[in-house]
Amino acid sequence: MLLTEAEVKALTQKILGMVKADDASASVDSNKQSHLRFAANNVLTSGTREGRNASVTVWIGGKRGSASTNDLDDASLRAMVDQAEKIASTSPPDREYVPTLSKQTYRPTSGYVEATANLSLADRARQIGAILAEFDKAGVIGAGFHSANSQAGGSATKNGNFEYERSTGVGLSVTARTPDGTSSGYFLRSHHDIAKLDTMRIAREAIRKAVEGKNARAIEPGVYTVVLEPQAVADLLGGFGFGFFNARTADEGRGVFSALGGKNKLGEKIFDERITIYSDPWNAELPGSQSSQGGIPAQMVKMVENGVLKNLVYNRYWAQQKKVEPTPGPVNTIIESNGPTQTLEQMIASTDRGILVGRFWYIRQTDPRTASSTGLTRDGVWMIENGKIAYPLKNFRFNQSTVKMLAPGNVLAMSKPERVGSSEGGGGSLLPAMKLKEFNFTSQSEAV
Amino acid sequence: MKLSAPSVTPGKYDLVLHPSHLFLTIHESVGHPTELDRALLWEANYAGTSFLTPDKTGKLQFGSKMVNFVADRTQPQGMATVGYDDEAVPGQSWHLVKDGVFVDWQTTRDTAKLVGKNKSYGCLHADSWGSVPFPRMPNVSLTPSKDAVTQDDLVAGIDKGILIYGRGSYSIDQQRYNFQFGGQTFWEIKNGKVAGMLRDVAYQSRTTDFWGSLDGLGGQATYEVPGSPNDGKGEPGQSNAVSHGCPPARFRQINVLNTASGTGAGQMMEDHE
Repeated sequence: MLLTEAEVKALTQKILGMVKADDASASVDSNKQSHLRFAANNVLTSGTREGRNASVTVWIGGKRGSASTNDLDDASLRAMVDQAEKIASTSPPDREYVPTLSKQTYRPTSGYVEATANLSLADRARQIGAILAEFDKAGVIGAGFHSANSQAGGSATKNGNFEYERSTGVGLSVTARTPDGTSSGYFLRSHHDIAKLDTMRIAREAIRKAVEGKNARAIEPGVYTVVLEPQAVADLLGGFGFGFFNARTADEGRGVFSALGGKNKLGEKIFDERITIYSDPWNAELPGSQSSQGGIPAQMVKMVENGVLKNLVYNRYWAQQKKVEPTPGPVNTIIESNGPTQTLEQMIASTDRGILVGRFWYIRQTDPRTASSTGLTRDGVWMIENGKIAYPLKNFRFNQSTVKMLAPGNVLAMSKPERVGSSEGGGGSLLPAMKLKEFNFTSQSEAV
Repeated sequence: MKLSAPSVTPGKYDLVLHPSHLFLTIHESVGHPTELDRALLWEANYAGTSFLTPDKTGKLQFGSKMVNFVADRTQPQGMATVGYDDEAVPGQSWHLVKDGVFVDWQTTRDTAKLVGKNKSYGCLHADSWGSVPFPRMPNVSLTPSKDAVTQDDLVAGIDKGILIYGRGSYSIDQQRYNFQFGGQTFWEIKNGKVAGMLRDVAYQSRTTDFWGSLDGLGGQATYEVPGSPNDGKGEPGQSNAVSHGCPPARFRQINVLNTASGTGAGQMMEDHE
């Protein structure tokens, strides 16, 4: 059972009541995670796990200590507080200490859906059963992962703040492979509302890609025009958030938004003028958290508007150093076009020669100063010729700067955004399909 | 020194990889493809499958004849060393690659019989009370030379090369063919000696080509047992601690690219078909 607001309030107050330190923040959360994993056209594992956790951070004379426990009885909470205070007493001063927040006012978001939190395991089994039958019907070898999670928790500070929030999530990813191992297709979608998860669509898209990807050809790597499906955009850009737009990274000369002399590139036009990147806690399709950065009430924040870098993310310490307000976000990632949009089909139809990418995989940063990363295509790449998908291709490795990728002149078209999650993990984002003038494929991979 | 080091000129170089770097190359290109559950397609939806398949056991030339990889759940200092696994199978030691040939798998009681084995090598592990036990990697280690070869000896055999320390950016495909790995510090090798520092280095290769190019191993005195405490795998994701003992090793004519260009400049465009 998830904890109620009254329960979280009582527990956090109990923890703070045990604290002797000058300042403290206490958190209590509860969660439920369930899954059904399938592979080789059969069920592999399934289960449900519930947990409760408490944690406390204290400051004694500016020295910090933290401890946590997954047992919420009085003795365990007391032991946790004692341990945190003991750690603080032996720690060096926390040079980045900022007093905990006083009372804040939060505007709730809509990220909790009862039907997701209490999904029917029988319905899940029936849906996955239907997908396994679809694999057999199509003559493919399928695998996938259906998972749901719900969490409720909150935090309180010694300076008088309290917040409580609940959220849910459900997702399904499916991989279909041809029996000869020469083609593979993948599709993933996730949502906070289980009613919006179309499981059969996900399975059929993965199967379609596998079947249509047979007899893939190898072509020379190089610089190509690409059309990226929303999944591929999510894999590359879904992680845009605190880390990518971190003000301190920019100010200290370590990031792509750094400028000479300890300055940053705020206000500069770095991206194509159609691109707007923002965070909106109250977006109905992608609700974010009501609080950001450990308790600041979240607000809509535009990171990039009309291609211009409008905001960087200042945490409370760095904001104090730079004499600015801490940034109330981001709590989600939305990328959209300010101008006319095209559908994926229109992007393909307008391409004389290019490559359609369904997904990227194993993306790792290679150079933070240029926002460059490497990774590979996976589970579906196609050659586009004369406005049509001509034939499937074997996979490539790429090396690409995401900032150069979105630079003025390189973005040829964007679709309306849709909710999609990164296939390497992470939450959902609202992202468009994109057509890009140049993208660097640097070697081939025979992996399927 | 690192900041003022010259940026690498892309091209083909001989490499000497120190254990602080080489262990993760072993992890990605040897540890993962020899997981039998990957070859059985059980990980197809996330981590991926493997370029190794059961029919290649005992036949595939994985590397040069100097290459021996031993899976070992009894290895001193190993982070995957156990008395027994989660099925009460005792920790064991066995060859995955012997004299350059791929010879065996990492197995559990469920999977061993699927490759004709009558007992498990003891690789079942769950990372907590709330996780489903499933196949996880043992320590997988590269056997050092029987001779007293030093790192300087390996460097001495190189006219134009790079010595790499530490882990950096690692990326490898879902069947473990094509990889691109970076490091922490890079040192130019000129005429058999370590010269100045370099930066912006990554190398890209294909697993069997790479291990096939190995022509030098350090001796026992150079052997170290680095490891990683957080090897992620599975859905829901689980974390496993694992070590990869190795000496420094020398590889010939590996593609090196410059990571600062933002385009992977210099990466060789080879067709591996």
